[in-house]
Amino acid sequence: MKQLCCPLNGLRNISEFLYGGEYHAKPDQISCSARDWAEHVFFDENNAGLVIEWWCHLPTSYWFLVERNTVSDEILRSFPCSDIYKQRDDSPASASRDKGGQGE
Amino acid sequence: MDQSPLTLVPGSLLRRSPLYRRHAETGASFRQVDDCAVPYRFRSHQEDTDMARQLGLVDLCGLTKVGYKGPGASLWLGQEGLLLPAEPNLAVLQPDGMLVARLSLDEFLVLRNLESDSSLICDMESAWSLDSAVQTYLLPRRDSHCWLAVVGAEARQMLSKICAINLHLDEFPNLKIAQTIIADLSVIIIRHDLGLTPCFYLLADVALTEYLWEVLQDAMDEFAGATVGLAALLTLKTLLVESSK
Repeated sequence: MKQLCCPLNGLRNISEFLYGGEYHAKPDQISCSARDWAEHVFFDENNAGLVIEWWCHLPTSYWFLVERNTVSDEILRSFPCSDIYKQRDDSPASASRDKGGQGE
Repeated sequence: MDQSPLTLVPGSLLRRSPLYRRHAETGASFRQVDDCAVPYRFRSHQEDTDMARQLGLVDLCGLTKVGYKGPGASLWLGQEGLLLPAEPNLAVLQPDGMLVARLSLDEFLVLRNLESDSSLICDMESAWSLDSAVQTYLLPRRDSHCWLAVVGAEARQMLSKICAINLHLDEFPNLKIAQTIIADLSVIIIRHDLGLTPCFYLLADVALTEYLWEVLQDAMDEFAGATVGLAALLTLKTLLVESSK
């Protein structure tokens, strides 16, 4: 059985994981075009070669990122998403709701 | 060990294990622990203890347990006086026998000790509020998870039939945690040896308790394991104290 190394739980059988699609850097949703946003939400690059993908360790519901070669199916590394997302990424809508809730 | 007659009828208490009907059919004696009827013995005390030394399955579903999660959880639990594991997937035994398991950087599971009372856990639950425990959220694990124990010299061998994790002592020492899949179920495994007797706690979705119980019983058959009561675990802990003196 294939195995994958989870940054939280270590090396586990691939049956403990769920594939979550390609990782894309999120465009600025205020300034980007509708086309760019649709590309981000709905489309994948499907590159042959090195890609970064979302994976989830199911028993812990832990989402993390994996760098994988789609040609050789070799996994180069896995790392927590906190390596990319340094802080909480609220949408402008929820951020304004939070501000309203605090009476600002 | 208390030898008083056990006449408790599980139905007389509001809280019972999902498995209590099975236990009653197999002649279990129950005892009240906290507000729950817990299977205490299935045969004579000596027979239960001998069985637990070899391979026993214990239903601890009724015992108090609680979870805390959030960026402020480690700070708040530390302020409450708990000793916390430094890393995820480790547990720490508290001075009163309570077990604190760290499931991730920001999530903790607190299991009551087996023998005395759960007042500290209850005090913590009472002290918790959204205002007092900043960015710490209470998880009612007592209602969400079942708690079973596989105990005995054959426990690791038996679990290796249904679990992909290497549970050998060299790889999986006492108080180590694995969050993995057993029989297609997400299960938290916590090793908490009772003296020299290996013991593995299994916690899974409470709605699937009966399925997990049957899977474990089926796996135990070839090792001649059997269901034992809480009293056997308490005795194994006592034996450790005596032998270490």
